[in-house]
Amino acid sequence: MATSDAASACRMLAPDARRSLEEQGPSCADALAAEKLEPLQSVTSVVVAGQSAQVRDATGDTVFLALVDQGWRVTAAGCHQVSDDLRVPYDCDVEG
Amino acid sequence: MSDGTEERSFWRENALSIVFGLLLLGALTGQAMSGLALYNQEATTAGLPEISMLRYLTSSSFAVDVAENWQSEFLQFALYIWLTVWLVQRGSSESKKPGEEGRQSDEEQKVGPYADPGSPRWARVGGWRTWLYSHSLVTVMASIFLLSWTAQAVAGHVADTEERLRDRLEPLSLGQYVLAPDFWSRTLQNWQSEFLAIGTMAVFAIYLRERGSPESKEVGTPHAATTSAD
Repeated sequence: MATSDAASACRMLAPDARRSLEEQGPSCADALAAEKLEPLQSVTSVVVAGQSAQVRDATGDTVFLALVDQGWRVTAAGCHQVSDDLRVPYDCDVEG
Repeated sequence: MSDGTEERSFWRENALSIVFGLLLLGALTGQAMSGLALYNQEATTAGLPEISMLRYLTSSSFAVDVAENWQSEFLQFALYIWLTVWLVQRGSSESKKPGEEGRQSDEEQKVGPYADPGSPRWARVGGWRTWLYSHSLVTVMASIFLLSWTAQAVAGHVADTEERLRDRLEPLSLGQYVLAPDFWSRTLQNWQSEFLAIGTMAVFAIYLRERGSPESKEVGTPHAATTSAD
């Protein structure tokens, strides 16, 4: 992801996820570009429950979202299921 | 003048249902306010914005909290009404007398040819209508129980999914949820308290009294008397 795209992507992040990247520095966009996240391919699953949502593509790449004051924002991206045990959380490249 | 008398009479003759209706509204309002505060406290901890009262009232979190209590109350009464057809508790004002177990005769129940002139029509007509009317109380209570329990499962599943997604966990299917600890913990913690309350009521009513209450024997009635008519 180019730094310019990353700057737009940063605006789609929920406050905690954005803060987490800013702490990695030097800026949210630089830290996000360094993660080398791939865009989601064809979406195969969308789950919405209350203020939370999950979107997964055919490769298993998953994004978690939350409904905040500004609308839906990404709380975690580049997530993958690391275990069949439903008690084990996804492992995410970016999260708050 | 007569309107005023009729109005007073209406309130007096329906005081029990009106007061409990008001208590229900008051308790639901309190539950909504405290539930919203708790929800927003958890949302803030998770870095999410607070939600409005309207949004909370239409949320699965509020629905599951209401439904889990409703189902257990209606289960309690449906079960008690049904079991007391056959089971008795000697000395309890909440029980028939020993020896009276069972459905009783048509004459005792005033159905079909034994109906009084003022009996409900479906008690007089016989056939399926009298059969259905003879079981209408348990049928309606049990139906509300099943509907509330289903609502608890559906709303609980959505609320559980919301929480799991917040924690980056894979959501459960509805089938997985109704076998999961959250569903059964919510269900059984309500059932145990209902069974305790109704069981102790049946036993306490043998030895304890509340003067003037139809739920109690008369104060001077012996402990061994199963009803005040003994």
